Amino acid sequence: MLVKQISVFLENKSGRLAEVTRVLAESNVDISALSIADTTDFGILRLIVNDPETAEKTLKDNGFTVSCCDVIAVSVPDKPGGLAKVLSVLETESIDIEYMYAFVGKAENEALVIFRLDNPEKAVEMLEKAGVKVLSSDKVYKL
Amino acid sequence: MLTIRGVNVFPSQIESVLLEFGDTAPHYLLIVDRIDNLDVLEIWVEMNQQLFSDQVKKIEDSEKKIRKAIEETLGINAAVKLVEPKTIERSEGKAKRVIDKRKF
Repeated sequence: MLVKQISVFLENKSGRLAEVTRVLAESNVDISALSIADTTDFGILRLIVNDPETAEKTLKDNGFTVSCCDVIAVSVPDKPGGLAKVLSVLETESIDIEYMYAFVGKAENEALVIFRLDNPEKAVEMLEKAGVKVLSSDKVYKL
Repeated sequence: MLTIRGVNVFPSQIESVLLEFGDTAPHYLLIVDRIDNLDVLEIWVEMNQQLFSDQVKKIEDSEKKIRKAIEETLGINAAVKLVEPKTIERSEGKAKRVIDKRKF
């Protein structure tokens, strides 16, 4: 159920993001979702791609600092209170969210949310018990 | 050797501090400037696998740890900036590790 997310260290200067996307394009890696955490000096680019192993390897070969970690992808109904339901499960189980970001999936009436949590295995179990749709990694990579 | 605010600083001291933060000491560059009659030291350190994380707070923690270790060893405050790997110039032969912008 856990999805691999690639994180890349980017210095805050022009052309760095373009370089990452160029490298990924050349190795035929498709990006499904991305988010950037930015500070004054640097940014962290987080990517969900169709082929995390290739992405990690090619980025490393091109001199980027890359790390890979586990996140979960949750399908949330696109209506008021959709996300609130998911978050209340995490709150009840006191699972901390390090960060999260949403992206629009191809399926209608649902939004996809990526969560970076301190205890992803437990989160998956609890969310599924509460009837929340957690997407399998295969499905996410194909988006 | 550099003299920053009256404190003698050897780049090798900084190198030995940085050894704690990587399998090999990360490449670094010292930038010294004088702002409002005070010497300021900025240390650029190349990012490595050990310092990197997908979380901003952990990277900022690493920066703080380096700054603290430098302060404890040298007794001076330095700003630490993490830069991308291989962005600090490699020179053949003697490494150029200091840029001194001060005008005396």
